[in-house]
Amino acid sequence: MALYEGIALIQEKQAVVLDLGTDYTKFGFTGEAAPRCIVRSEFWCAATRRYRRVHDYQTADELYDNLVHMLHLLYFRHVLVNPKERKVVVVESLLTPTLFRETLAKVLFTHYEVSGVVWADSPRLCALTLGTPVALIVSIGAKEAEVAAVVHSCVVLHAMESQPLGAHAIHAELRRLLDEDNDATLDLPDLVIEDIKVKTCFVGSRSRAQQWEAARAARDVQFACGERGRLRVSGATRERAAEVLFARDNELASLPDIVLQCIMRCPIDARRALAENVLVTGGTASLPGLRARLAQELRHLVTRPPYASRLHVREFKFHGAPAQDSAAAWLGGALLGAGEAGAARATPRDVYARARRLRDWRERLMADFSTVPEWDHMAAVLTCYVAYNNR
Amino acid sequence: MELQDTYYNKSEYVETASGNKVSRQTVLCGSQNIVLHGKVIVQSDAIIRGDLANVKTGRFCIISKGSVIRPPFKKFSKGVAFFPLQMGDHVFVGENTVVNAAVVGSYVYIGKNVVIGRRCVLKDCCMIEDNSVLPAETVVPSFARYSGSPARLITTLPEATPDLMTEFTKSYYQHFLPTTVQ
Amino acid sequence: MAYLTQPDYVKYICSCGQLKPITSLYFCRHCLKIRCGFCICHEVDSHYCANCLENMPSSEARLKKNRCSSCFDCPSCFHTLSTRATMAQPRQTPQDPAGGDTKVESKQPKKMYYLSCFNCRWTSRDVGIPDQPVASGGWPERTNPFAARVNQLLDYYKAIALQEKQEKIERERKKFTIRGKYITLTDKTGLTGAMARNIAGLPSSDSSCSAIANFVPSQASAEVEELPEDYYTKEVNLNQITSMPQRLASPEWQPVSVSRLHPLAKLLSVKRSQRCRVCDHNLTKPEYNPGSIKFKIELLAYYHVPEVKIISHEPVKAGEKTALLLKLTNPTGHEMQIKLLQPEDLPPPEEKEEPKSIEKSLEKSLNLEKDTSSYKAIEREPQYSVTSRVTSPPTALTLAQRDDAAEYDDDAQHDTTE
Repeated sequence: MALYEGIALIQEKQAVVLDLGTDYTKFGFTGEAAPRCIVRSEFWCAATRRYRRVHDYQTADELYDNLVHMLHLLYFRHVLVNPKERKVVVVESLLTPTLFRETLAKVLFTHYEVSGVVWADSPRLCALTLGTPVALIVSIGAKEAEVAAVVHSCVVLHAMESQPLGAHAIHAELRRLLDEDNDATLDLPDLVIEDIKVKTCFVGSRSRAQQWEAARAARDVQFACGERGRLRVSGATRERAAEVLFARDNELASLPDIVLQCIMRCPIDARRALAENVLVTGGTASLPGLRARLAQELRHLVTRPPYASRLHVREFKFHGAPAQDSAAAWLGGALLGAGEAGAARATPRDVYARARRLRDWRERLMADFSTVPEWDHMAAVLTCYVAYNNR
Repeated sequence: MELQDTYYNKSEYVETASGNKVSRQTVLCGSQNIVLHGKVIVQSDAIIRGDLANVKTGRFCIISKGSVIRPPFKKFSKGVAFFPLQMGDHVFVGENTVVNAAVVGSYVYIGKNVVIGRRCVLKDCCMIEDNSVLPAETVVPSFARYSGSPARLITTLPEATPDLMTEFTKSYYQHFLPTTVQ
Repeated sequence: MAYLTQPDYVKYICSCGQLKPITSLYFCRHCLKIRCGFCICHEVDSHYCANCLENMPSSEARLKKNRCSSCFDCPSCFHTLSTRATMAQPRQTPQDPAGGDTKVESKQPKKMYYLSCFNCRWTSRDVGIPDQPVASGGWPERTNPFAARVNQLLDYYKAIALQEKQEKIERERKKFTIRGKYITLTDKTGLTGAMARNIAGLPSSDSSCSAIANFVPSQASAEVEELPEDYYTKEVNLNQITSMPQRLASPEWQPVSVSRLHPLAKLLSVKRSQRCRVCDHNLTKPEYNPGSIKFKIELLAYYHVPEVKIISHEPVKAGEKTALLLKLTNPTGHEMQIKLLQPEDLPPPEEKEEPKSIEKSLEKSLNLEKDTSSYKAIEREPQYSVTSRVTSPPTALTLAQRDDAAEYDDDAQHDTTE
């Protein structure tokens, strides 16, 4: 393989992998085991003299400027390569707004003149890091928790579930609980809230959550917070902040609920396999105890209505991705971009220049494939992999 | 905006042959070790510690009110030694700033209320924003703009910074005028 | 310097429609247009370490993952770590930790080095990294815990891709060969596909097969690590838990405990050169030497475009005329004619002749098409709100060329002012 790789190196520069999350951006090279940098998705805005978040935008032009600045920072401060004539693997959620996608494509192709972009959705990329044909990807990010079933490298689109149960939901809850603890409207900045969450919060087991009053509360923590002095973070707060992910109501929209609903909507022959191949990923998944709690909740809820009668799955098994939680989807992108099959599926710049827009999976669901000119390039990446896998 | 004229009391300032304007209300310790290379303004209540080691500045430097220029020391097992402090041309040091650097290059802007830790090296063309603290032994590269405590790189300076700094210090010097009592 | 410390009062319209202060504008000598950071192409020119100011060739930088081999950042506060020396007896008893770089007088004590942060007082001893006998380098490197598995995955997917490709070729070949008429070399002789692959320089199919065959998909387990029971009752020591920036500074490990923090090799910086997108000429090109602030090419608007400064203005009142005193400076060596116009008198930007994409030479037309289209995308209407009207003198002003001799003179009022 050595010679072959040598030729490839001369011909093709190593592509970069971009995972532009709401809070954190992961950026690095294909073929590497970890991103080069994980930085907050914000850049220094000289005009307003403050950091500005990429995802704070009102208009497409504003987003365009934000993305230009952010990518400049990533390319010239962190990864130190020329963006020109280099391919990019963009790791995106299937629910990325069209405006964001199109603007990102515009920035990459016209502003940074990259030679090609591989658009890859995070559930399939996460599945790629496992190498299993069937996987249920539970990705808990900054804004949303997304559950997607990947069966033979195809996302079961109609079974996809998403709820605003991410880091931001925990932050909001933590904010409320802290105000209660300290009897004041603290109005702490986001970064402090995040710091408190990371350092003190955890997810208790199901049995503790059930008999909340009876269980011995966890220890209080005095959190030093600059000029505000010390904040009291009570044991209850530490434990209950992340409880919002598991709070059930009539809508059945808690994290374990959407996992089960996703399985339920999948083809019946895949359900058992899905339940036995769960991957919990995303930055919030590193919260201590979250995985254990999710497992307990799933095993409990599946025996209860409405699932008990409709879902005959009793066993849940969990995978561990060969990456840190926040970088699992990124690693998938790095694997995809390294292989030739992935790189060949990039949308080249000239194709983009002619069409000036991207195709989305929604359109593809409706359209007849033969009418889409760039189908070859944009086709579901990697379906072939599994075809081989299962022979 | 163009700089406004700054007026000083003529009796307070001494103007040397090379154009240095030094306030009488400064503390210049060990003045034989202090070299001001011409057209340097040292404003009132500034302290330059020439008694510790040599202090050299280039042309068109501005040492604002209440700032301290102090050669850095280094601890050895046998005691402490002070090192000379060198400053390039067209350097601005803001008010109430403490400079403990080993080298300050040319075209450097240091804001007010800044602490430059000992043995820092500020390369040519950099800027330390107001109210920053630069920990000891930091190297600030060219065209960097540092801010915060501890100061970090936040952005870069435009390529024309040397010219901007030259113009700034020169016009500062020109607008630094004695009060006309008449 | 007023440009760096004050808000931007005077803004120029770049040829792309952005409003920028003159300091962040460039002037392309070949297109005779003003350009800004937004509409030019940035390129990495050279890598260097911002701390030791040493250049690193880009091939080496790529190999070292853009990190300096001798400088480290503090994993706790991200300030640069300093190497400190101590005297250690051969029996490894550290003596006088505050000792500096003294000359070794006696042969007995050995000089040992450790890393220390002058900002937060973190030292490499805090996390149990042994002192090093050499001042730079030699610090233990950690490997990514997942590296082996990731390499397995990589090999696996590469093998699949290869196999896919080969089968595609095979299919193509089968489609086009006419059976029986010609006997190919591979069919008749013992020259097999494996040998043909060998000649073509392709790896033998066996190795890719074995990579596929030996690959073990990730195994799921029913057990999930639960929090230890004492987790709930344990006292939390906030000083022992890392913060988010500390974790993310080393993306491979993301340590949770402070005791797992390792010195971070310092990330290199780059010098950038900038290029006009339309004509591909360099606008700025820095000197190679990292300490130098000089440029080989420096086409800044500041050196070519008349500079406008507001000297003074009276407060603007509705319905009244107020005086606005401007200073115009000619930075060039040539005389300059300047006419002040009203915003609405601005000549419209000339239409670009769009190549009606007749695909001549593929490369060329693609480039042209891309370029103009990119300008279409980026170009915007300049946005400014007008609340007052400036009555300008009707005559054209003449600015004399820059008088270089005046630099040596102390009288700086050589500029033509208005």
